[in-house]
Amino acid sequence: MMLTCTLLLMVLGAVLVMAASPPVAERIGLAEHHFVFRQIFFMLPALLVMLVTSILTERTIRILCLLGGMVITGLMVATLAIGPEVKGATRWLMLGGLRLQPSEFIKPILVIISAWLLGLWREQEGFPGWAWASAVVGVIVAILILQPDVGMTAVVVLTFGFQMFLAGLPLLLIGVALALAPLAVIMAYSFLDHVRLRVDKFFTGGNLQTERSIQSFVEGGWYGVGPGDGRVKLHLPDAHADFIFSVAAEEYGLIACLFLIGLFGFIVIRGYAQSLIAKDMFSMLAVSGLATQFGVQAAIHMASSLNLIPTKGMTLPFISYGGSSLVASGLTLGLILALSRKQHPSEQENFAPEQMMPEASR
Amino acid sequence: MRNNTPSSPERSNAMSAIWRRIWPSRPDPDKSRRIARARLLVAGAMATSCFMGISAKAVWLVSGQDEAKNGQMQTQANAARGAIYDRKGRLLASTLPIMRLHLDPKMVLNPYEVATKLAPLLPGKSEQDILKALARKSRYVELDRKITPARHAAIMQLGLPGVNISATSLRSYPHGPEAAHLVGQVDRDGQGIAGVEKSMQAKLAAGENVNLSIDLGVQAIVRQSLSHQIERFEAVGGASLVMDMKNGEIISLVSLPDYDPNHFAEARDDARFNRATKGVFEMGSIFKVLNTAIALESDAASLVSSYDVSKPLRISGYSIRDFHPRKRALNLSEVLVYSSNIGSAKIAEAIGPEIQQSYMEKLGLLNRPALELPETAQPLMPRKWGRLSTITISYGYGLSVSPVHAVGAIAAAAGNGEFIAPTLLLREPDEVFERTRIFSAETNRKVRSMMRLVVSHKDGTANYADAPGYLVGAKTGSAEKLKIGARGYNKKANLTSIVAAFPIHDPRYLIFVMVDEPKPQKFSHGYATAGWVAAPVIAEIVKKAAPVLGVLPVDIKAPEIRQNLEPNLNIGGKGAIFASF
Repeated sequence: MMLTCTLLLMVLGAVLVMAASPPVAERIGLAEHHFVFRQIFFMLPALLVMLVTSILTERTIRILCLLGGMVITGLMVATLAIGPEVKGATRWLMLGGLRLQPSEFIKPILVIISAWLLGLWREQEGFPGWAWASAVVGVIVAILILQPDVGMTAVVVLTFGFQMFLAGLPLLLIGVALALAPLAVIMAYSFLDHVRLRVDKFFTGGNLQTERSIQSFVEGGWYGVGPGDGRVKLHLPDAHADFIFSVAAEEYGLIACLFLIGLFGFIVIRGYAQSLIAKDMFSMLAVSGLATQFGVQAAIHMASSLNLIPTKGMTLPFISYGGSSLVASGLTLGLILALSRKQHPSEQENFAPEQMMPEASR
Repeated sequence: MRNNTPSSPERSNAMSAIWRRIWPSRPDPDKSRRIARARLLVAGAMATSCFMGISAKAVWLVSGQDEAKNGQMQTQANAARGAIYDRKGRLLASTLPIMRLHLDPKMVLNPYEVATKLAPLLPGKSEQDILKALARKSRYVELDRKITPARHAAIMQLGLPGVNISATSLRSYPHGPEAAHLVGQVDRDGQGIAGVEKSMQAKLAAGENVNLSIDLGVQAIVRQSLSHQIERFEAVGGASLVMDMKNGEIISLVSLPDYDPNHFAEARDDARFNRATKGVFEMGSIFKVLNTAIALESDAASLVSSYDVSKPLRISGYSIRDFHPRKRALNLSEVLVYSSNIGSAKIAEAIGPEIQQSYMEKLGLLNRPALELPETAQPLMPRKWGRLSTITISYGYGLSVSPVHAVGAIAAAAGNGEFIAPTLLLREPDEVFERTRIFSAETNRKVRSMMRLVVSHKDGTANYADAPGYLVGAKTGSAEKLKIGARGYNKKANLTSIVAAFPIHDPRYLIFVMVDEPKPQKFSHGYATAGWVAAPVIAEIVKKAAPVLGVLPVDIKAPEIRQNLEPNLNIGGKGAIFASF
């Protein structure tokens, strides 16, 4: 079911990039279907990553995530030093002719690692998992802020917050965290110029991008103006990435948008349902955490194109153009599939977590 | 932590107990999982409401658009708004489908590209004009309202985003200012906001045509004659009405200054004002026609009644004088022909306030007229209709009415004695309409004969109104205007008016002409009275309009004409004089 939805999303993504990207490509002097070919090209590794990941065992996943996490953190530090600056941010590494965004991959890996640490905290005596997890997340957040990448920071922090909440963070501390949240927002507002600009524009309404995005919903109506006939893509700077939902709204209409929202909503709720019946704390935190991350990212993308929140350049998983994003989304879904598949009895025999953590699984 | 003071070991213990509760050192996996499941349900609910919220906003945006689209459909339906025609089927107002070119500067990618590609296709627009239009903040900048099909196709071929063409409609008034006030105006959504466009809104909006009683030919003659006289006498404005006395149809309605309804926005307030129906004035001496008719009809006077006008009449501290004082007694016809205020006052005293008021009521002078225009006026009446009011009203002061009021009332006195509410709509040939008999044929015959003498007798005030062969009868009025913002009358600001009927032996058309604040001129020997200003307009209108209206000149000495006029009028004490001379 989840796999079907994901494949559907990937197909829709190809269709929408085909609709949204040609004007963008033309504007920056690339071949008309440059982004379309690339997107379809990246669908192969994304699918591969998803399918391979989905058949991995829980143990392999932990080990790979631990190793991968270290490598990618290293790459992220490297981007700060040697990465090219694009639109005021250094998030990318040049790898041959490809531009790689390591932070896209750290997101799902971080979910696994913090789920692991928080699970241990709840199941093993004397292990301050919350502290370890907070420390790991803190390091990553620090690097993200240095890049800077406020959107990704928000996703990571929200996801971790969700995991802590699920892991039993006392309500008192939740209250304190919620009280401190405005402080973080105010700090971001006062220390990051582009955040201040966006927030100001959200409240004063002077944001051209948002107005055009809203206009695309109005123009599209229920059934859309028709594939290729949309205009918003001619004006929005990253129509094929950060505003692809608006392109969908204009060309394919409200019905298509509601269908997309439904697909994302379904994947999130399905992930939650799977984690409800998870056999241990780790699977529960990992699967629901990944689903949350996936949902938060989709929700931020859609909400900012509807002007419900200040604009935040955020890709719509599987739909937006972007190789790293696409492959990382494949990784996320692969992990969800792998960890929620664990309930199968035959596999439980093959895999014995007791061997690793005797205390954890009584 | 400041609690390591020796005095508070209990407090330290309590703190660590709370800490252990928050952060238990011994994990309880089952409990943790129960908590996690419960909280997962909370998170699920939050996620669901989050996605619902996003969907709701999208639906809200789109359904708002549906209403906007419906609005557009409505304006398109207005393309079928009915046309307005004159009595001979000439078009006064119609709706044309047009193509409108407009820019949305925000959607334009490259203003210079748009300017260079568009300018050659738009006559009269330079690249600079287009760039200037594109620099505007608005989302809608109209460049051209009349795009031909060929240019439409060429512009669409350019495929420039932000350059839009939309079908719309334009209310067009092919005769421009000729009938501006009575036809009226529509707003930008095509809804009538003035004149017949407003009063007939329901019918026009349903796509039905409206046929007016107006004759565009007569309208043009009247407008030109009146306009010429306003210029000659440097007047501030004027109004004129021509009415068919047989059925109440208004043949012409002019208010000057006027405006071109195709460019309504440029019209001055003064020009937009319809003096003929919305303005109320003290009409002055033309009311003496009514006074005479009422006196005859109510037996308050007869042709042989005699009134001493040698001394000014004093009443309630006011002194009533005549313009041309005469040192003798005048009979009833002389009072009208010489326009004696003193004589009229004495006649009115004989009539009495109650009878006068009831006639004014029946003649429609005390109510808003039932004319098919939104721009009608409520008359200004005396607060107390006593003896003084009765006297002043007899010669046209103290009761302010609009020209259309005056025309309706005087038509009853000068026509065939029936009051017919004036109408702007063409009557069906066999249409039955409301007519109220107020004066007898006998009274009418006498009043008409006196009106003829006002024109034909050398001492009458309307000699210049005569049009040979058409037997014009008339009564002039030169009223002083009330001072603006002060009590009393302004002796220098006159309202000159005349009401005329022709042909007087079988009256068909009533003409009212009013010229507002004419200045004395050298060619008029320093006069700016109605006889000099308004009367010549009547002559010109009759001479030019009678052929249009199908009225033929007659031999004024023919016996059948004499039969219809009163032979026993005595003017100037030299014996009976016949009215047609």
